[in-house]
Amino acid sequence: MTVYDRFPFSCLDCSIPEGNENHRILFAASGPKIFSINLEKKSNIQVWPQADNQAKRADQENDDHGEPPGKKRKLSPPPGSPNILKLTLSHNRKHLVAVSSEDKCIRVFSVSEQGSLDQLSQRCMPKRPSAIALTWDDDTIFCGDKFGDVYALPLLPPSGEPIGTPLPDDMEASQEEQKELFIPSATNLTVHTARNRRALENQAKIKKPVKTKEPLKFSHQLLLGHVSMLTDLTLVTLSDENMGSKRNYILTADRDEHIRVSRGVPQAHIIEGFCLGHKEFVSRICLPRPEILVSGGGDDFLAVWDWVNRGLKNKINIHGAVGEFPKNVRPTGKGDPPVREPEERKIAVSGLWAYPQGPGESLLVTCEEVPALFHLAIADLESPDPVLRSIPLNGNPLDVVVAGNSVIVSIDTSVKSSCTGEEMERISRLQSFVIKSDKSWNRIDELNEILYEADKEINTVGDVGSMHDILYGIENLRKRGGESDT
Amino acid sequence: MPGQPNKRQKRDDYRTSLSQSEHRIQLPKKKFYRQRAHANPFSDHVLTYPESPDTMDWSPYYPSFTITNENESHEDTEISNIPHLSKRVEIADIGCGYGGLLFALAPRFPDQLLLGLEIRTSVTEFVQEKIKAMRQQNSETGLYQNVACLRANTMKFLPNFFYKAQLSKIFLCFPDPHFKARKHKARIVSSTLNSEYAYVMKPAGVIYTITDVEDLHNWMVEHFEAHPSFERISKTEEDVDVCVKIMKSETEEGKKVERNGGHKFVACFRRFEDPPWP
Repeated sequence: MTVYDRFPFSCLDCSIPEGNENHRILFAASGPKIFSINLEKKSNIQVWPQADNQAKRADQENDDHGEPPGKKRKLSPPPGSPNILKLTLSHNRKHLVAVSSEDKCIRVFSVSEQGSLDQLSQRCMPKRPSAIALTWDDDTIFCGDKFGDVYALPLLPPSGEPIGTPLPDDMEASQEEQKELFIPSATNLTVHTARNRRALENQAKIKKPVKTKEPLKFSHQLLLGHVSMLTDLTLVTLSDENMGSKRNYILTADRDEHIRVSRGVPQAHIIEGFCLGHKEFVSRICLPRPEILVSGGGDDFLAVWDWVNRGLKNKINIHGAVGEFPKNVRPTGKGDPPVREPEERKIAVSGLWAYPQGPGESLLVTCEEVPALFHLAIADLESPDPVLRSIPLNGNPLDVVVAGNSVIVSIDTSVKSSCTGEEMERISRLQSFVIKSDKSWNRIDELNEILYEADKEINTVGDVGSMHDILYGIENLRKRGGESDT
Repeated sequence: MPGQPNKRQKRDDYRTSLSQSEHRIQLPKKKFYRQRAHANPFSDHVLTYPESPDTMDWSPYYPSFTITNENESHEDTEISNIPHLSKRVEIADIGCGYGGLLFALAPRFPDQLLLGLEIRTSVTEFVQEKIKAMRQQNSETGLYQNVACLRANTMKFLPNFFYKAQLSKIFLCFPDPHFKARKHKARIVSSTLNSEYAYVMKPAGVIYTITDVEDLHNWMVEHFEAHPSFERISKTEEDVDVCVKIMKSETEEGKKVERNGGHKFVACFRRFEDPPWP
């Protein structure tokens, strides 16, 4: 186990008050902690969960209010607490939604003006959430999971609903109370295979009812589902100016090369169509403009879609631009593997973002284990030969957030890129850039200084090795020939 | 395992001799194509499927319905090179097994294309061999030219084969019951999968289901009735539908249940027209 004191930031989001760009707060999760970093002042950082003694005090205060013990909020998660995978800020910047990996939980925080977080609810999903989106009115969270299902949950659980899902022991206790008679689901008259018949005989011997999974104890609605791993989810509203009406859509992508276009709630059961053309998994979808969809995944191209009519408008080859950067792979510790260039370089797109800043309007692209941030003018998306430019980074990008006109990148400094020659210098885990109208890019010194200071102050200890699959899980989506099944 | 290589050898020999024989008049023997009754719909089988319905070449499956394009288009795209059929598949048997239903339906619907979809390789091969033999046996009447079978995992790839509103009938006959609650998502009917069936179906198209497991029957009824795109067809309407009659008597499993003295539970559902946008 390699314990590392500069655990990378797995995900970012940024609060930019409207008309007041001078109050930006960056939210960055590192391991189980979420940091709120004031981007205008040095050394103005808050952390969730707070240190233990503070948490205890908060608990005490809660007790004074005479809250029943069953509903007590846990402010400090126990050691070995789950790592945060995703952060999504509500559109009104008042709430932050965090997804954690090991316990499959969705936590909702209220965000103070200074950026401090107060946990309001904690809801554990049946499968690990893989994509999160909030509706424009901030009322509902859409959550897609590893099993391909998309649920809608109210952002704030209705009053009367417990704010935390019960612990596993509570669930077992409630199950013991159930004493329903077990009825086997098949009869002897059913046509059976030998194995099935044996299973049926065994079922008849069991006195106790078979434990079934508890249904979710909070309000939720299953909207749609893929029989595949869901990888990304986007909500979009198109307004028809002639009709004066608005149409809501849900766009979902999966590991089996599909991008699905469904109607929004309350007609999410209606599939409008599919954008088909990828040959490998789709890992990310992005709408740089409401009517244009860009998708990327295991293919060496990005697809540009007229998604309303399900037409493929362009395929942008990214193989050349990405190939200029050697893969930046973490040594396994089991003795370095022989360095050999694979015959065919595999690309796994790990992120797509729109950078909607005036003439520099760009699409930002990252690929797994490639130490660069790629950018492409949005105006060029439909041109036959668009140019993918790159910003070399001194580590692998893990997440990107567009904060006004600057781009903040989270960099995994535990895997150093050898090509930059900056190893002697301390590399900040958070770096920022600006893309200019002539498509060149710059570092923003002022902001980088603040980020550099924040990076120095934040020491999160963690086992980076165990996080590898979570931080670098995209290439694993690729199918490996499958099992033999003749 | 003793005996195992011998069995495989016999199968291989049988299939090579079958493919070499010029006149495949004889029907294939089922005993050389047996395969365990279950397949995991979630695993990445080595599957071939088209990127999209546009790229599907149906001509090897329905040769007598293929249009030979005289005036070739000069566009040299992948899609324009794919031969077209004079009509589209409209009847699909999902999980067709050994194809009993397909062979009974094909002569009844000579003007429509029927497709069986089966996830098990050997079973698919059996149906494909049987189709070849049946076509040759009936070369004078031209029967069975309208039926084909291919290997597919429809739970994942239905929209790769069919366009929106393409199918008028879908059969789900004696599907794997997946008794364990944990396995219920593997069932061929679920509230989320029903949206995909609705997508490939024409308005007023019908989904036919039959099973001998009452529990599964109730599950299918519950999930289709709860889905806003479907309504259950009344018993009287069911009774006069020729497809229901064939489905009850001609499927392989249906015959097995008959011999066993078991029950058969039938339910059919009609697809509504999509409501206007809210």
